[in-house]
Amino acid sequence: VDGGSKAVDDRKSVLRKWELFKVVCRAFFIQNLWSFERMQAYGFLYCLLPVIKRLYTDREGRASACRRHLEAFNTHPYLASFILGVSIAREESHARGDEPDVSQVPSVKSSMMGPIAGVGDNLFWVSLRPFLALLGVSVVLLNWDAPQYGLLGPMVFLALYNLLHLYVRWVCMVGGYRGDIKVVERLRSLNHLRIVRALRVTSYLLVGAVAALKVGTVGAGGRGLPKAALAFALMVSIAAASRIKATPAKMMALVSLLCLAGGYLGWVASF
Amino acid sequence: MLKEALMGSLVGGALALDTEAAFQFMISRPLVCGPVIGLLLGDVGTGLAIGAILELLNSGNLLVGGRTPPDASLATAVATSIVLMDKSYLGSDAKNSLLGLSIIYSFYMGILAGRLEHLFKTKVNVWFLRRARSYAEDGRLSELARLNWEGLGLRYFKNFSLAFVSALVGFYPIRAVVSLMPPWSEGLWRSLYLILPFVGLGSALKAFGMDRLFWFLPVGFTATLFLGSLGRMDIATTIILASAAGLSALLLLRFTFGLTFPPGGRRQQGGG
Repeated sequence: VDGGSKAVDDRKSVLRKWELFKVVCRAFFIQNLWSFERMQAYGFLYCLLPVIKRLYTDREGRASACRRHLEAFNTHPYLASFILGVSIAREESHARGDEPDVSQVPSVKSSMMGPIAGVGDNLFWVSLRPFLALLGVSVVLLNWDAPQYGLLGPMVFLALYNLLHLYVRWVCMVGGYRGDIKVVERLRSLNHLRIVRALRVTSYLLVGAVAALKVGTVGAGGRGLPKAALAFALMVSIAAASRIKATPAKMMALVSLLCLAGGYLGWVASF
Repeated sequence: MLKEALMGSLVGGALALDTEAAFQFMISRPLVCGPVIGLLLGDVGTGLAIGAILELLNSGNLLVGGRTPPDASLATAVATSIVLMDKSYLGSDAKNSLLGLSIIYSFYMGILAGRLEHLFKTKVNVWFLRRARSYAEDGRLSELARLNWEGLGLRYFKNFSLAFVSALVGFYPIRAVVSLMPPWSEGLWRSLYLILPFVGLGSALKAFGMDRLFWFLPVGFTATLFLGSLGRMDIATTIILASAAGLSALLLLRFTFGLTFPPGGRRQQGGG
C-alpha cells in the first residue's frame, strides 16, 4: 500500500454503514465552494472525508488520498453520487490491499464525469425542472385570486421533483459503490427521445392553455379576440427574441418602455 | 418595516443557499421562495404571485457547466420584502403598480447578485481551494471539513446582506414613484404587472426550445379559448393539468420500476 498507509482490517467491507450514510448527507454540499479553478474538487473531497478518515490512519495515507480527490472535477450534482460510490469502492479496495495502485482513480473519475453530466443536465436541468416548475406555476396562475388553492402549485412541484431527485441520489450512491452500471443505463433511458418529446409537447400545450385561461373568455361575437391575439403575439415575440440572443434584461426593459409609451398614449390592457 | 426587511432577508438568504451551495431541493426556486417569505411576512398570496412571475422569467436560466445565472431566489426575497414592508398599499389601487415596479427592480437586482456570485467563484472560492490544498498536503481532515462550513457561512452572509441592502435601497424610491405617479401612469403600471405573466410564459418557452413542436403552443391556446367560449374552461383546465401530472407520474414509474411506454418501447428508440 503506497504512502505508508496500512489496511485497517481484513474484513471484506472495511467501511461501516455510518460512514456511507455520512457521505450521502455530505453529498448535498458537493457544489459548495465551487470555483473556476477546480470546480467541484473541494466538494467531492469533503464528501469523502469520513471514508478517508476511516480507511487511512496515518498522516501520509490521508494526505495522499486527499490529493487524489482534490483534482479538478465537475459533473451533475445529483448523479455525482454514482462517482462518489465508485471512488469509495476503489479506496476501500486499496485500503484492504486488493488494489495496490490507486493512481488511476482521478482519471477514472474524469472519464465518468462528462457522460454523467450530460445525462443529468438533460434530464434534470433541461427537461424535468422547467416542466415541473411550469406545472406548478400553471396551478398558481389558474388560481390567481385563490392563493389557498394556488399553494398546491409549489407543493406539487417540490413533491414530484424531490421524489425523483432523492431516489436518484440514493440509487446512484449504492449503485456506484456496488459497481452496478445499470443505474446509469436506467437514467439514460429517461432521456429517451419519446419521453423528451412528450414532455415538450405537454409543456407547449400547458403554456398555450395557461395563457388562454389568463386572457379569459373571448365572449360573444369575438369581442375579446384582439386581446387574446395581443397576449399570444407578446408571448411568441418574447420566445422568438431569445433566439436572436436578446437577453431577458433587455426584453424586460423593452416591455417596460412599451408600457410607458402605451400608458402615456392612454392604452390600458385589462387582462 | 425594518423587521420585515430583516426577516425576509434572513430567510431569503438561507433559501438562496439551496441554489448551488447546499441541498438543491429547489426550495430556492421563486415558486417556493415567494410563498414562504410571503407567509412569514403575513401575505402568502402576494408572495405566490411574485414567485410565479419570477419563476417564469427565470425558468430559461440553467446552472450548467460554469454558468452563473441571475440569482432568482434573492430577487424573489427582495421583491416580496419590498411589497410587504408596508402593507398599507395592498388594499389600494396602487397595489399593481407597486408589484410591477418591485418585480422589475428585483429582476435586475437578481442579475447583479448573479454577477457577485460569479465573482465569489473566481476569487473567494479559489482562496478557499488554496487553503484546502494546503490542508490536504498535511492530511488535516478536520480543518478540511471546517472549510465547508466557513464557505457556507460566508455565502449566507453575502446573500443576507445583499438582500437586506437591496430591499432597503429599493423600498423608498419605489414607494416614492408609486405615490407620485401621474394619473396616466397608473394604468401603465397596472398593465405592466398584468402582462408580466405573459412575458414570463414567453421566457419559459426558451427552456423548451423552438422547433416544429412549437406548433402545439397555438393548439393549446386556441383549444382552450374555444372551450372557454363554450363556457367549459373547467374541462380545459382539467385536461391540461391531468395530462401534465400523468406524464410526471409516468416518468417516475419508468425510472423506479423500469416500465416502458408504450410496452416494448425500447424497440422504437430513435424513432421520434
